[in-house]
Amino acid sequence: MTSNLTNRYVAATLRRVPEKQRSEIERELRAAIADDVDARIDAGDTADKAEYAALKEIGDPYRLAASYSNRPLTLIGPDLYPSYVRSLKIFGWATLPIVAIVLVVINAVEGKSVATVIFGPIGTVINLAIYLAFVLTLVFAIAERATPSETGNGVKRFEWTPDLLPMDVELPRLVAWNDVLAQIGGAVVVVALLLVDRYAPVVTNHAGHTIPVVAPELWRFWIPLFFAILALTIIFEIVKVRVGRWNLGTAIAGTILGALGAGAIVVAVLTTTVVNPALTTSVALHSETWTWIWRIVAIVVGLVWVGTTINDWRPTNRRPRVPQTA
Amino acid sequence: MHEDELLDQMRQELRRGSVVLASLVALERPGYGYGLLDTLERAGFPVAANTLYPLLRRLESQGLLTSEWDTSESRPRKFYKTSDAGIRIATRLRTEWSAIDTAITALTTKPLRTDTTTDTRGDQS
Repeated sequence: MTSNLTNRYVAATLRRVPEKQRSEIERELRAAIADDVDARIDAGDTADKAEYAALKEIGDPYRLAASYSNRPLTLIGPDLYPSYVRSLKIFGWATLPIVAIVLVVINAVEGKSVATVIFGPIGTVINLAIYLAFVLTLVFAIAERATPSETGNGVKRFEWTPDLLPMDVELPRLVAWNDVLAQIGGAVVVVALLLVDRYAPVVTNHAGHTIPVVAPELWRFWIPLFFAILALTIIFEIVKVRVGRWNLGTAIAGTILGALGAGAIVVAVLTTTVVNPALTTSVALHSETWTWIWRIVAIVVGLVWVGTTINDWRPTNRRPRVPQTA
Repeated sequence: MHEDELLDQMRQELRRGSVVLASLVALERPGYGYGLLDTLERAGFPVAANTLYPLLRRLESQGLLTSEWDTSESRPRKFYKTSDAGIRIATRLRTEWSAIDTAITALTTKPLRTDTTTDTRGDQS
């Protein structure tokens, strides 16, 4: 009474077990299925229903076959997973930033446009990251299969020793009051410098007159915007400390605020003349050189924003803040 | 999670490690795959078919079970029997089993250090 369904089940199982074990497993499996079907028919099921239920009971033939041939059902098992994650991090951090910087420098030297210099390497770096992740995953998946553990778990094939501990003992925490104070201090200094530069300039031009370093043109729009973003950021940091722990709202707000600030600076330095034109004529630097200085400033601001944003979203920074002793 | 679900899950985990012992003990009298499944279930020790069948083959390859095909009936069945090595190991495992039971019992009858657990919870700051 072997029906098509059982034949298909047996075939699906045997396909995935070693050839020399097939005939034995087939005989045994067929007998076991038939026994189960008979028992179900005795209990009052119809033949069709009994067969269906019996096969369902033994379950996915892929799983059964893996169990027969001692094959892992995970791509990378618990033994290798920690090493896998560590390797991804180490290789990622060791290669990707260097490649990105090298590409930026090459594009810059070749005199490509600003957009190409900044955004051109992004695609290449993403490709490289995907490639790296793929190769590492492949290597570990092969290792998982090449060194089978008899029991499947509990056997540590790669021994962890205390030497592998990170040097860092600080628990990550959200900004605390002293960080906010430092930020306010920094903001005050920047604002003060800008105000002094405008209203009480100290730099003299070739004619001996004191003139502002920062182009007065910027006070029309960019500098007020910059002040506004600065104020918003400080308010936001205070809110964050009051909230005390990571949450989705502050993370999103922080990302947006950071993008606004970084974006404003990048656009400003790339599209406007930041340094007072009256001064640049007296400073012996070609306009081409200035262009490059501002491009580099833009890249650095962008990278800083990317770094802080990634940091804000990192799961390790999401735990509750360590209580501060007053 | 519901308490019953939690219990089910833990019971399964507890049993998983003892399937080997149960099979070795039950097969001191020869048995075949489906029959053993049934025997274990009746004894209050339900095991999934797709766990048991491959396990029997593995125990055989480890020399803890011997097998023989019985073709006297219309349906040929592979009968497994616990080998001498299997019986020795089963005895050792049963000692271990009763040691675990003794240990758990000792732990439950002795006063537990419950006060230390409440101490760590009491956050002084």
